[in-house]
Amino acid sequence: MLSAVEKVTIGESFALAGVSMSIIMAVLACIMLLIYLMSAVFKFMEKRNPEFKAKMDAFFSKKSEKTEEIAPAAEENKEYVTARGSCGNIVLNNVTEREAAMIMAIVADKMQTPLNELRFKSIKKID
Amino acid sequence: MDIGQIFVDLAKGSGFAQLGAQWQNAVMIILACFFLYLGIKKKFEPLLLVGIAFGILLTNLPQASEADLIFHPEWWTGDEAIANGVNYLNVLQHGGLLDILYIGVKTGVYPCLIFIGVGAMTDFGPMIANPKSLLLGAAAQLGIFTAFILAIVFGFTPAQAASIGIIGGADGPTAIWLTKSLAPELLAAIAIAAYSYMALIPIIQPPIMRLLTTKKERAIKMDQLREVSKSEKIVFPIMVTIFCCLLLPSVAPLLGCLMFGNLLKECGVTERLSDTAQNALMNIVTLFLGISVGATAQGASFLSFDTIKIVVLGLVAFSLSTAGGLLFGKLMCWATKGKINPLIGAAGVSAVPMAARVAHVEGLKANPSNYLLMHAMGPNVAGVIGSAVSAGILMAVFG
Repeated sequence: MLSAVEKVTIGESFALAGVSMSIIMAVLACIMLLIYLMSAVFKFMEKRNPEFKAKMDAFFSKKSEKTEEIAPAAEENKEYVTARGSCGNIVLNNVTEREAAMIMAIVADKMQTPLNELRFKSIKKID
Repeated sequence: MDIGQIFVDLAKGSGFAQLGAQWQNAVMIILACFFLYLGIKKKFEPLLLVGIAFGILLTNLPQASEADLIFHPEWWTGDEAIANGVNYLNVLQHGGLLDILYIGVKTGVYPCLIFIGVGAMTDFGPMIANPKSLLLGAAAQLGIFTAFILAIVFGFTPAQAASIGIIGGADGPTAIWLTKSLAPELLAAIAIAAYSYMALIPIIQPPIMRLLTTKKERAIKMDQLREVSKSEKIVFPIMVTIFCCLLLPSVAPLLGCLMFGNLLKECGVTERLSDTAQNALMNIVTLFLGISVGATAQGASFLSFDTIKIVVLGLVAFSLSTAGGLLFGKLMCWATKGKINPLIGAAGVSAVPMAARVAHVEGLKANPSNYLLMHAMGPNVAGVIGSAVSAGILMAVFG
């Protein structure tokens, strides 16, 4: 820690502000570069080993193990896509995840019930 | 026995008689009721403002004797406390309820615990998907340092000026964390200003947004963000903690807690802890923080010209932070040939998720099919990191 500053002139305050802003910019720019680096490493690993992402996710998350159990069932019927979710799974039939999220949000809003208290089994587009 | 004298003595000993002698306390009680109105009726950051207002009310109600006092400000900010440090043994033995609760503020425990909760509620995904948004979060700290310069011009000490400037970070816990160390005598005014302006974001930011951007810029639709893997979300808090704490050790308490909370959320094996951090812990600490910060606002010290200056400087800091983010957003818009909507820069002022919502709403007004919310969440959470880093720098210089 630097020694406490007792007095600062207006000129010094400008200099201090400039230096501090530069440090903040530099620190956040470094974090930005670290994120790019991290993403590049993950992309490279995925490219080398296509199963890397699934392995990593399974390693970090217990939930991934549950998803793996469900995966064979999903493969049987490839037109069904299983949405990622914090609680259980939902079958999306001819709807994108974005559309499904929108529908779930609207239903929760109309029912005045928190989304995490609702259970959706499937969302199907009716032509 | 003189019955009349008994009534006279009772009247003299009542709180009403003491209120007459201490007009500042009466004003503070009215002010507390006004804050309660703002919190309850107008829903201005009610979770904290109601607590702060009630703390103000309690601390300004006259007590019969010294022993009955619920809070002793001189124990914390008096000359003896400044010269020799706080006598915690005395506080524990003879302190009132709010003295005991204030220990958490003075030691900086509450803001850090709140940051664990904030981290557990924050999704850094949009920021990881678009790392450039970190620069917007940095640019939106401009108001902190402009207000710092102005506060020096207005005659505040450097430590006080730093505490006033941090209001521009639009981050209540950070403002409290810095002020309790640098300028505890200004804590109530700064906390109230910080939380009030955070609540007023939907009123303060839109005119600045419209002033600094064209309708064409506000209507820019941004590309959909890439999907961020679970692994990236887990590595991110660990990586940022190691890097930032090695680079700037003074940010460790705030940033470390923020990232710890986020790791609890993302790692997937500590769901119970994450849930506790987001709900029970957050609520309990918010309760203690609000009421004990409010207790520092005693009439004699709070009702001064300095408080008015702090309120004005806080507004300047907040507005300039918004402007800083917007102008950097415009720069990025120009550099990327119109791929970035400058409005998301305004979300760099922390205040998650209110600032991102305001950017989204302004984008929708310019183009009804423009959904900026997730794009604005990137700079928004970057702003939390930015204001924590700013506080760390100011603490390193003036602490």
